[in-house]
This record gives sequence, C-alpha cells and structure tokens, in this order.
Amino acid sequence: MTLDQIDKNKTALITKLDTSGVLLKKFYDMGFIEGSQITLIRKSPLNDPIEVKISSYHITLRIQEAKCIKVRYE
Amino acid sequence: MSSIQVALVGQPNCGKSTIFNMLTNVKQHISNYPGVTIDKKVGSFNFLNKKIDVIDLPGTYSFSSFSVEEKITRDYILDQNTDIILNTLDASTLRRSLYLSMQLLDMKKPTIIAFNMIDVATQNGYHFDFSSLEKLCNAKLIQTVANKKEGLIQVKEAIIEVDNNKKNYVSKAISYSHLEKHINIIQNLLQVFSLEYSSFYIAIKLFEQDKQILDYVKKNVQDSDSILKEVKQQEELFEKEYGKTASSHIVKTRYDKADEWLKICTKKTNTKKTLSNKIDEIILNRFLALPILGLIIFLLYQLSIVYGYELTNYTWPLLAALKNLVISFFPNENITSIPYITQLAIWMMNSVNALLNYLPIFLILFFLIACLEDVGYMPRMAFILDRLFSRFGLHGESTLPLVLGGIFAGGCAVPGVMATKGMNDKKAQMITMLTVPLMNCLAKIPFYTLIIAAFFKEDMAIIMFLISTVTIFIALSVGKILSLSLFVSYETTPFIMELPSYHLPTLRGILIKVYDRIWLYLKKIVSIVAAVAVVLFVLIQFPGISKEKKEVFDAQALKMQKDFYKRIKTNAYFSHIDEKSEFKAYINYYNTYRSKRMNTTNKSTAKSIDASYIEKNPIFFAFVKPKRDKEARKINKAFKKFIRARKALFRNLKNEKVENSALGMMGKFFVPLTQYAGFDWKINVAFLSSFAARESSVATIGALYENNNAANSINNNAIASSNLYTQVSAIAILVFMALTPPCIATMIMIKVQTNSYKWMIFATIYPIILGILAAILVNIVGNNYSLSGVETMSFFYITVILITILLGLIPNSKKKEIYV
Amino acid sequence: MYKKILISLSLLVGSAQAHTAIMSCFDNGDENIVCEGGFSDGSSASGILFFIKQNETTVMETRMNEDSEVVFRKPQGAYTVHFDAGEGHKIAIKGEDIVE
Repeated sequence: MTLDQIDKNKTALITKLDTSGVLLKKFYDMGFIEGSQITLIRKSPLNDPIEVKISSYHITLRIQEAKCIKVRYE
Repeated sequence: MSSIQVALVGQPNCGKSTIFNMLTNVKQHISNYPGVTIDKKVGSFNFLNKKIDVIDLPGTYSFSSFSVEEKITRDYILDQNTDIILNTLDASTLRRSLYLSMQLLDMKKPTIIAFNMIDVATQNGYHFDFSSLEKLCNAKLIQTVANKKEGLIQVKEAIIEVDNNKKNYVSKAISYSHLEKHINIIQNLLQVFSLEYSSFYIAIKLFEQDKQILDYVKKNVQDSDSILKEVKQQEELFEKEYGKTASSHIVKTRYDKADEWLKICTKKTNTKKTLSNKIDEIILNRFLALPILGLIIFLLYQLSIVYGYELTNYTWPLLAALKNLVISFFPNENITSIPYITQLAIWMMNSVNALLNYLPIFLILFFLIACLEDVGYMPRMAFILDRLFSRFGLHGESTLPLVLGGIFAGGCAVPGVMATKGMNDKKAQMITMLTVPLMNCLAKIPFYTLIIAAFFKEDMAIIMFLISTVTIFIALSVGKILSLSLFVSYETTPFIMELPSYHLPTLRGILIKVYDRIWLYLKKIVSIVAAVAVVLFVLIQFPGISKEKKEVFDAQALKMQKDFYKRIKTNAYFSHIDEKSEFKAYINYYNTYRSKRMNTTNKSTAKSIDASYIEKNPIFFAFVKPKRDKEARKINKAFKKFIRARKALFRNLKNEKVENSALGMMGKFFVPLTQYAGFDWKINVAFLSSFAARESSVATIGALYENNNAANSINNNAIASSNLYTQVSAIAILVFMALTPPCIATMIMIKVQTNSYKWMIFATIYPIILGILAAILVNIVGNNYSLSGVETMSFFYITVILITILLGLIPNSKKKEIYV
Repeated sequence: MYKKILISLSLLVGSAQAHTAIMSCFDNGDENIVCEGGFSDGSSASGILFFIKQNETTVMETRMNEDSEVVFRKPQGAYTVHFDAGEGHKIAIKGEDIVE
C-alpha cells in the first residue's frame, strides 16, 4: 500500500522509500524515513496534492510523489 | 578591530529572517551572489564595543548539491571566514529542524543554536534541558521568541561569549556508530593531503554521494580514483553487513540522534489540535477553500487597485507640480513652436509620471502581499490550486503571480513577475514568468474600452467579458506548450512543501519587504523606462517632415499670428503685446498659469496663485481674466482663437512627423504582414509606441485619428467613422493587444529576475508572434465567413478553450523518470 | 439577468484604469465658466461627457471639445459640474468652489 491510499485521519508506518535522487533526498530532508509514523490529514479541494502529518509538522505532497512511499498500518 | 563574522543558517519558516531583521535593524544590504539570482543579505550591528557582521543565508532543509541555495549556504560556511555559525531552528518541529543542525555539527565550527518559537513549543508540551543538550553537542544553546523580540539580548551576548572562547564551542559531530570504522579508513587516506575541509567531513559526504564534494576530491586530491574506489568498497562491506546503504544509515542516524535529544525534553503527548490546524479546517475545507481564496483575491484587488487609485487623486497633483517645476527649467515655448529640448522634457516627465502614478497602488499591494506571505497563507494557496496549474507546466505557487498579473480585471505584470521570486520549482518559475505578461494588465483596459466603445456599443459587456477571461486560458495553453518544448529538459522539482503554522506578522518585517520592492521598482524600472522614452522620442521626431510640408506649416503659423494681430490692432493694450518677445512671454505666462490652476481645487491656493501672477504681470493677468474690462476681453477672445489654432497646428505637425518618422517607417514596414490582421501602419505605430507604456497607446491612437473638423469629435468615433476598420478587424486588434507584452517595465523585471537578456528578448518576441498569428487568424476567419464582431470573438474564445482542454489532456511526462 | 452580471463585471474591469482623471474650472468673470479636463497620462479628454446638475436635475449636457474644454453660462443658484469618463473616473465640482 502506498501513502496516497491510506484513509483520512489514519496513521501508518513508512516501510520503504521507492525512489532515488532529488525526491529521495527531499523525503529525507522532511523526515520521511523508514519507520516514521505518518497521518493523512486531508486532500486538496481538487484531490491533489495531499496534506500529511509527520512528527509534529504538516507537509503537502503530490499524489505522484506519495506513490513512492510504501506504508502499512501499524 | 576586525568584526565578528556570523553566518545565520536555518530551515525555511524557522524565523531566521525575523532574527536577522531584529539584530541588524536597518543596517542591511541586499546584493546578489555572483552568477545566481538569489539575494545575498548582509547586515551588521554593534554590541559591547564589537562590530558584528551577519549574513542571512538562504533557508535550506539540509546540505547537498541538489539546489543552488544549499550550495551557496554550505560554501559560505566552509570557505569563507565565518567565525560563528548561528543556527536558528523552529523549536516546535525539533525532529526535522535538528536534521539540518546535525549536519552543521558535522562541520566542526563554533556554533550557537537558537531555539526559536519557544512559546509554541512550550504550548505543545516541550520542556528543554539545555545544559544536558549542550553537553551532547558542545554548541551554545539559547531560546528565543523572535517575533516578540524575546531572547535577542541573549543572542548578542552568546555571540560575544562564543567569539571569546571559540575553542570551547567547536561543535562535536555526532557518532555514526557502525559506519564509523569505514569513515575512519577513508579519513586516514585523506589526511595526507592538506584540504580546505576536515577529512571527517569529506569522508561523510563521500558516503552520502555528494556530487560537489566528489568533484572537489577529483580536482584536489592526487590519485583520487583509488580513494573513490576504496569508498565504494567500504560501502559494499557496510551494506553486506547491515543490509542498508551507507547514505540511508547516515540519514537514519541523524534522525535517531534528534529523537534522543527529544527524549531529553519531556513531552506530553499532545493530541489536541493546534490553533493553526483549527484555522486550516476552515481555510482548506473542501468546500470553503476556493470561495475563501476567491474572496482573498477580490480583497487584494479592491484594496490595492480601487483604493490605491483613489489615493492617486491626491498624489497626482504632486506629480503634476513636479512636472511643471522640471519644465520650468527648460527654454520657454516659442510662438509657433516648442523647442526640442522642452518637448523632450515634457515627454520624459509624462512617461515617468505615468509610472510614478502607480506608487500608491503598489504600496498597498506590496503591503498586503507581505502580510499574506508572513502570515503563512502562500503554501495554502499553492496547495489548493496546484492540480490545475501543474497540468499546464505551472505550479500551485504560480497562483499569486498570475493573480497579480490580472486574473480577471486590471492587474500589473511587474509585481506578478516579482512574485515568482520565491518559487522553488525553477522550471515552473520560468514558465510562470513568461506567461504572467499574458494576463490582463491594468494598462490594457483603457485600450479595450476605447476600441469596444467605438465598435460594439450594444455588445460592450459581453465583448469585455470575453476578452478579459480568455487570457487565463491562453496563459495555461502557452504554459503547457512551453513545458513540452523549450523546457522539456528542465528538471522537475518535487512539490513537497511544508505547511508552516500561522504566525502574526511583525510590522517591521512587512515594512522591510515593502521598502525592498518599491525601491527595486524605482531603481531598475523607472530609470530604464526613462531612458527608453528618450529613444522613442528620437524615433518619433526624426527624420521629421519634408521641406514642402514644412513650408505649408510655416505659412499656416504665420497666418495665425497675422490674424491675431489684425484682431487686436486697434486694442488699447496693443502696445503691451505687439512685440514678438512680449507675445512669446504671454503664451508662456498663460500656459504656466493654466497648468498651476489645473492642479489645485483648493480655494486659498487658487487665490495665492492668482496673487503671484498678478504681481508678475498685472497686464497679462488682465488678459487671462478680463472680467469687466472690455478691451482686455477682446484680447482674451482673440488669444483663445489663436491658441486653438496653435494646438491644431501642433497636432497636425505631430501627425506628419510620426508618419515620416523612424517609428512611422517601422510601422509601415510591417504592413505587408499586419495587413492580414487588418492593421494599417497607424495601428502598427500605436502598438510600437505603446511598448514603452501601454497607456500611451490610447493617447497615440487618439492623436493619430483626431480630426479637427468635427466640432465634437470623440476619439472613439473617429476610428469608427474613418471607415478603415470593421468589427472583425476591431476584434483582431483586441486579440493582438491581449497577447502582446505589456510594457518595457515588465521586460526589465524579467531580465532582473532571470539575470539574462536572452529570456528578456524571448519574452518580448514570442507574444508578438503569437499575437500576430492570432490576429491574422481571427481576421481571416471573421472576414471569410462574414461574421459579426461578437461571432468572431466567440469563435476565438471557443477555439482557445478547446485548445486548452486538449493540451490539458496531454500528460506531463513519464512518472518515474523525471527525478534525476 | 445575465446581461446585468456582464455589465457589472465589465464595469469592474473598466474601473481598473491606471490614469487619473483631472478637471479644473475657472470663473471668467464675464458670466462664463470654463472647465478644462484631462488625464494624468496626457490622454486628451475631448469627447468626454460633461454635465451640470441643479437640485438633482441635469440642466445641461455636452461633451468636451477638441481642446478638452467646455465653456458655459454661469447658472443661477447652486450647481455642480460633472466630468464622467466612466466608472472610477468621475469628478464633481461644486459651483461655489469655482473661483475667479
């Protein structure tokens, strides 16, 4: 299951970051690493991008990018 | 006494710039890093008899070679004579904030870490044990609430303290546990060479596959290939043993360390939603988000443009007074001519004043935008509309620039282009900059009104509506085309953006931003437009009219004077005005009096102007205001006739000049092409001259079509009754006007933002080509099918919408391959 | 209904013009008033609507001539002169403020 597929207000655990290069580095910068907890807060009125909560802050990302993050419910 | 060099480093949104503003007050200076268009902000302050220089480095989330901001920041800290690193972090997002701090600690320099926004962190249940934390990292730790000025003295004191005891505060790098032994091997290999950076730092970066460090090693280390081979071997060994890559281990270690720090700070699990989250429930609500965005945009327009415009009613008299003052230094007008130098001065002042007239509007606009930025609304704006814009090569962050350019009614492309500055996605930034000029700029509106009122009296509303709403579709389509063609090889930047908490902006922060932007406008744009105005003036004046025509005009001029003298020959006051010098003096007296009086509606000011002019020359004043004096009244009447004839003479002279001028020739040169769009040389000239300032297109068209015969000629009807244009060609003119670049000011802004003349020229030329093609299409189709004006406009509108939809369906690019 | 919306939208659009309208009037002292109009960017005001109102009724209506001027006989009693170049470009001057 990838990040864009979790339900709203549900928390999941990151299992794998399926990407490389700039995007991977950006994920690292923002604290998206294996083992981090992540919650889906909402989707944009146009359904893309999505807003997630990780640690104590909120990040928005496009669904295309969210698809690179493999997650599972705890 | 040398000053202490402090480098201010931090992630975006941590309040770093607030601290910078508070520390350096107004002693800051913005320039550019060589070769890039990123602001270099330096400032200084004095404390305890020492001078401290601070540089506010660009906000970065970490260090790597992927973005310019990161390279600049890292290079500055490592290469320059930085004495102290002042790391500002957002204490309420510690886990992520510390990621950057950990990398700074790796650099092993004297470091101060300022935990900013400590108030928010405490609210969320954090409690910081600074002494334990200091033992872990060796840096000096302090806490601040920058936007409330708390902790500022402590920052200054810390800088002095660290400077006096540099050795004690050199940061301790974190331990990378299992990777350490591999790092040590590489370190030993590097230690032999004398390098700028510590061998530890280089080793770490090689394991992180940092391209810049890689290049550095290749260049400065002998036999670098064998070292790099060794690095690869160590990586493989590590991976075999621990099942993950060295680089991911390094990342994880940093976050684990951050978690360790967090454990030292007790934290109550806070599941209560923060105030920002609650606000976002409304602002980003599925159904309310778009209406709220619309409301904010509407307010932005209403307050800045409509009220700013009302303010111009008060500022205009000041500008007019300035113009009169400047002109008074130039040679007086002659009886039947105006000296070239004076004409030039008048032309210049008109051009500059037209630009300066925008200042009240810009002041309000920049103030409001700075508020929106500092409050934190911008990332939300991008979040809402990104899906629509990214389909067309743009970005959620393009929302504000396009809105400023004129989403529906009068915007201005200059602040629109300025607003692209902060965009992270460079590809989208370029495309946005190139499409903002296509929007509905303020100055295009009077031109639309002129043409539409002339040709489409009944259908005015719908044509206006269509032409102003078609531009956003054109912008989207052009954006898509650009992204698929010119910019196809540009890297796409990940969208990933933080939604920071909402903050109350500081007045100082806002005012500094407003000041910077206004100053930029004045310095770069007004100055260059003034220069261009001179060029245009020359192009219109020369080569001038033919000898035969000149003789005709001279004859007319002579006749005018003779008529005047004939009428007043028997007048009691004749002796006061019979000499040429007296006549000339009176003309100037009359003109300056009129323009001064025009400028004021205040009774007492009017009285004092009159008093000063009576004092200057009581006889002349009688001519201007004859009252009961019959003889003076006769002179007044005769003079009125003369002045009218003089104005007409100048008008005709100007028309002749333009027709024969270089500008006129350029206009005629393009006719073979533009005739397909239905444009004759006069329209071409109007467009060419309006390039300096769109507003002057109205004046130019008016001037070119004014006929002196009709007593009540209206600019509008003059064109319509000239019978050269049909409704269809009017639509072609409108379409061309909508597409062509607004003005030199915008082009200059583009050059400033991109630092390249190439893009400025491209941004100027492609819309002209697009505009001509569109106008030709409209003209040909409209004429071939004998469509009415409204039908032609509708045809164009529907075509554009169809093209936009089709382009929107083309996917941007293959998904996984875009990330290099 | 839809026409009304379009008209108000087009008025919104029309108000966003960058030049300021100006008008100034003198009392000539010979029973005539002269009003001269213009715009901040130098555009001529010839052809712009000009009218005089007394007690809510329009007593005179004309357009600025090619010199951007209107000359009219001074009305008896209180009056206001109006320069109307569209939404956002309207100027009204009270008769009592027109001085010699």
